[in-house]
Amino acid sequence: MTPSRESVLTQLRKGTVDYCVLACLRSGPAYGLEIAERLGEGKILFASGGTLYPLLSRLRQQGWVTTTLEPSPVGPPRRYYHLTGEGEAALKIFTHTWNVFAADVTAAIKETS
Amino acid sequence: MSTTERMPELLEAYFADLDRALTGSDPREHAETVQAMREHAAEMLSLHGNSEQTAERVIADFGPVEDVAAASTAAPAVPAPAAARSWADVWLLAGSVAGLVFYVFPLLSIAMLTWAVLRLRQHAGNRSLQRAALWVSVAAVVISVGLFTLRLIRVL
Repeated sequence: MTPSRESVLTQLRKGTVDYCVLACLRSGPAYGLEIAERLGEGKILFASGGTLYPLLSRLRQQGWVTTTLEPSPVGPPRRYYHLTGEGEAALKIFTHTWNVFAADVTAAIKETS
Repeated sequence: MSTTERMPELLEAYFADLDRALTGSDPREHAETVQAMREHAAEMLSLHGNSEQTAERVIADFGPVEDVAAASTAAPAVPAPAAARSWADVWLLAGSVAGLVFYVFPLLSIAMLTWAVLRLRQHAGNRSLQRAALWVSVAAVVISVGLFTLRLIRVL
């Protein structure tokens, strides 16, 4: 049975998208809509924008992000997500591991294609 | 627009569906997801106008509620309560064993057998102990009756 592009993407997202959100926060705090716009382009990392929010809740419960409510110039107060020290450490480990993993996957695919 | 103000009907219906779809998810994650998505919607309505068109755009961005529910963590399973030990059933079994050991006193075995039947019919307590007491009592009664019958035959 041939997998669909979407089913392959679903598998690839597991275990990686969390760290993409952390990476998004590395340069500074961001609010939900901002994160959704940055990561949602092309529907690669997120099939649906709404799936970002359960993930953000899990990251907060894990202690990898914290949230603050800040006044907004355009509307209701914005909930900003901040990367914690623990989140940064987790991201560092992932980044190092991912680089090695991605390199091996790329090499394997090149050899066999 | 704040998250507590009523949003266009389309969005309110979406959030009602989302709330239902997230039943069975981790409760804190459920509450935080709905709140955060309301905040996202409120910001979009403030930026692009509080209209049905903006609501449609927000819903299109969010995607189906089933996708959001699939991305959420299931609530932890509640372990089944341990079977309560019924001391009445413990005494019942002890009495039945005593009736078997002292089979020369059949009244005890008959009493325990009757009690075991009554406990089983109540559909309460520890069924395993009740069944064990029932079979031990039956064995004790059978032995007692058998011995009594033999004695009667010898006398006759």
